[in-house]
Amino acid sequence: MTTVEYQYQIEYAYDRKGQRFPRLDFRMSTSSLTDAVDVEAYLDNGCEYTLSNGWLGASLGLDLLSGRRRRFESASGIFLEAAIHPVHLVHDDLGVFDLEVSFSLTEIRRCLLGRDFFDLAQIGFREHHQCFFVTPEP
Amino acid sequence: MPSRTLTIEVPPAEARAYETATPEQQRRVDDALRGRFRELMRTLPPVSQAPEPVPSQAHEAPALQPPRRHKEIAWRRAHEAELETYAGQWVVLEGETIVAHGKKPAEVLERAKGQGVRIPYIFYVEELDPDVAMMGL
Repeated sequence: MTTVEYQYQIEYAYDRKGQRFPRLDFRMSTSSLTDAVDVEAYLDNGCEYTLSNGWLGASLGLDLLSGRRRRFESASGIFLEAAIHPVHLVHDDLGVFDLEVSFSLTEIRRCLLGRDFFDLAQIGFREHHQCFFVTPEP
Repeated sequence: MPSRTLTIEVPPAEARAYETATPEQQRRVDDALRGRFRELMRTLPPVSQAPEPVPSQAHEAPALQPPRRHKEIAWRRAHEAELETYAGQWVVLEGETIVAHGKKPAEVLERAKGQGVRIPYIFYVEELDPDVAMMGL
């Protein structure tokens, strides 16, 4: 059995009405570093790749449609198309992550941190205790 | 063409003496300074070999600084009832002030930037329904 020691313990973020979610706040920017936007992103290891609202990418000056396309399909078969662009994600404690984010070409309300993010950081959940543990390295 | 500046500091007493010196004395001082300047220039590497900026300097760009939104997150927790009025909308919060909100994130971001917010903190206020469970997509 492997024992993992984590560097950070993070409480689930409160939503309204007392609901809590595993969420991280990031500053997102492109390699040009001219524009940035601060966003919240939900940890979702059921999602293969990190997915964001396309308008957030456009606000960074990205030519959204020039990105390589990726299709996301849900368990029910509902799908959406996204365009892939490299970005920097900066967290208060965890540091900088360089990630290819898929920017949805249709409106979505949540930014999801997928398994590509989990590949950069070790994360362990304690759902009953509404917290998770993170070490910002693979 | 790349350039750089080399500064030679002259002690104040010497500078004052230069002001009252004869033209011949000033010429000798000028020659000495030019010689010192050439000597210093020889000790510097060519511009093309000048050291690159260290990577950490690149991380000083605002876009790579941690967001540090503690004030905004605390405000959101303390003003849940007020946020209820923005359910179904995107909101840009700066400190304790909602600077823009609306159903279209592009318009909300544009309005926030129009009000001088360089790096907007944007979030979606979900319409919470106890009978609805959220999934990723």
